[in-house]
Amino acid sequence: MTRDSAVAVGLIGIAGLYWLGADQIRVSRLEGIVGAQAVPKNLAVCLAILSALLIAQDLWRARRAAGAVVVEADEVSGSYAHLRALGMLLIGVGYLALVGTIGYVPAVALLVVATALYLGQGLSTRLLVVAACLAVSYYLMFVRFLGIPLPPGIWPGLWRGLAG
Amino acid sequence: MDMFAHAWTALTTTPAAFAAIGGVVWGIIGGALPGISPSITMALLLPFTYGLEPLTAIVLLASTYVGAEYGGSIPAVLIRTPGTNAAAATVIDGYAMQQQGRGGEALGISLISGVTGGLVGLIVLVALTEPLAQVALLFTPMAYFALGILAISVIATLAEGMLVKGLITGVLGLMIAMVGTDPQSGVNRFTFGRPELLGGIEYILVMVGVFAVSELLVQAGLPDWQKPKGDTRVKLPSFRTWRRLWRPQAIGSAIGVFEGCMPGAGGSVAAFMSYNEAKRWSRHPDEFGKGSAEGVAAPEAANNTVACTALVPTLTFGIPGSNSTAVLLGGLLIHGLQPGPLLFEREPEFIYGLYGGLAVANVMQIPLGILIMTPCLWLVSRPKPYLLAGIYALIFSGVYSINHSLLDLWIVLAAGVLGYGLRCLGFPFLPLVLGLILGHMIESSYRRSLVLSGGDHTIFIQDPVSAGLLAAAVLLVLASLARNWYAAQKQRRTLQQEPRPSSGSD
Repeated sequence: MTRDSAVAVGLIGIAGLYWLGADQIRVSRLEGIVGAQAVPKNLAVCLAILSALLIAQDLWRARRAAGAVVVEADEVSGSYAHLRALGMLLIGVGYLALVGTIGYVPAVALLVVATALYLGQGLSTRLLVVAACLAVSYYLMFVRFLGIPLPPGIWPGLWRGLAG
Repeated sequence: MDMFAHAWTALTTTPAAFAAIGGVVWGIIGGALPGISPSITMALLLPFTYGLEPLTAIVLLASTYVGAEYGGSIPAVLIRTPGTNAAAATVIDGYAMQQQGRGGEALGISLISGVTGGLVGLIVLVALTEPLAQVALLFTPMAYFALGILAISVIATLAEGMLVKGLITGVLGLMIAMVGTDPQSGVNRFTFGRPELLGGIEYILVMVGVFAVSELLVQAGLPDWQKPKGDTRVKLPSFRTWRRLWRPQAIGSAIGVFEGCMPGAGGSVAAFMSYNEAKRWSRHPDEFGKGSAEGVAAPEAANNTVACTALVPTLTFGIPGSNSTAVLLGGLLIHGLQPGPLLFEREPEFIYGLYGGLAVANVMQIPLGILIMTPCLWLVSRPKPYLLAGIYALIFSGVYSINHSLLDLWIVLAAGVLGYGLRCLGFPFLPLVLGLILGHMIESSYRRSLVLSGGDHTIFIQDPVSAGLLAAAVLLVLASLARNWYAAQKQRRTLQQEPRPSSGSD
């Protein structure tokens, strides 16, 4: 099974789940002729049909190619690139997991350090200084200048506990 | 005269002029960074526009688009790497000029031609948008539904050889748009009991994720880009030289007008077409590819013209023709501005203020392009890990500033994974963004139409505008299928005609 066909099978599965989810939508007395379920169900059917067309197209292309090597031009390919992307994603996940606890400024500094190290920058004083400067600059820009309350973490509560 | 009065009032009583300047600066910087396209540069700015006045916000975004088109030519000339797709044609002669020690001259020609093209595009934008918006007054709910379907079809068909995939991602975008409270009946759809999802998934989150976060994920696996060597100063061409470049600039502007008004065509198509036509009509075609000033002037005029004329379908019909105008449309909707004829009637100050802001952006590009060269070069020369880390932190900070919700950040990451997945699997993601933005309009128009007809679907055929638009969508899809089939046949014939390798030795 080629990649496109495998993806299309997955999409048919998504279409099925979406249809089931649409079927669960409550029927309201305020609905008009077309209820809240109608368009989602139609979209699920469209997705299933288009996915089936994708499989058909894939099979047709495979028949036409018949033995010739077909190289699919992708923007991103190779397990190395995918692993690198996964690492980058995990850094973002780590930031989201920590920011609520340790607060915005330390979390941003850690994010910058982790990302830079991951992308090949060696650990150095310069890296730590850049991370600290970026974190402070963003804090000043967002919290002080734009007045946006970014997550403070546990520190205010801790400080109050110590002071009180 | 009213128009100038409105524009002057808007520019002098609001921060729009400063937003234009700031947008151009941000756009040049963003465009100069390889891998950071105009749409990503604008998407990064979207969360910051939340607290701004609508005019200031949209002028900021539109000016970013203008600045980014010039910014993309900086690495194209200096390091043979286009900063934006639209600058790919500029590489051909721009880099050749750099190798001849004429890099500053190339940048100067790029700047002046860009400003010329941008002003031409602005004139066309002013001339066309209001009359076209009046055409939209004829639109019924059926016509709006058909227009949404046509828009997604157009974008899907433009993805070469990926029609079915384009339509699939369009449908996926529409499916995401269904999340939230149904506006008609008040029931919840796909909210999974989360109160944060009652208002639906904000398209700004998906846009930032799909454009910016997915790009970060891709860049993580790519080697560092080349750094510019030395310090290049922009050298503006003399008036006589600028006048000699009138032909390629005119060609670029004309093609830019046409391509910009066509949804989906975009700056890169206009740039390459302009390059080819400028070479065809040049008195010195043999100089192209070897450092011809005309080879820089034509594509740069074209892509800056597109930056203005792409607003024509966006403002008149609410149909964005490219990633960048999709972000701009997102900005309009966030600020409660619905494109179409009513926008021109109810918000003339906004429309003429936008024109004024774009005029300021295009004119100010000249001094800003010169002043910002050195800091821009410094920034582009920073190690890629620092740049990407800074952008990553900026994305999270900017998105959090919208609703102060960590769930939004998770949604952005998920959208980034989705965007990365689409790129890996060869699916275009502009139809997804379009489906998400137009989802509510399409659904509400569809349901309203059926209320009017008592449930009879033939109303979409009975309404002449709707029937015409749906027919156009079908024709476009069929034409795309025919084009793909013809291309496959041609490839098969070419393969059959290739000489077979000899099997024996001599």
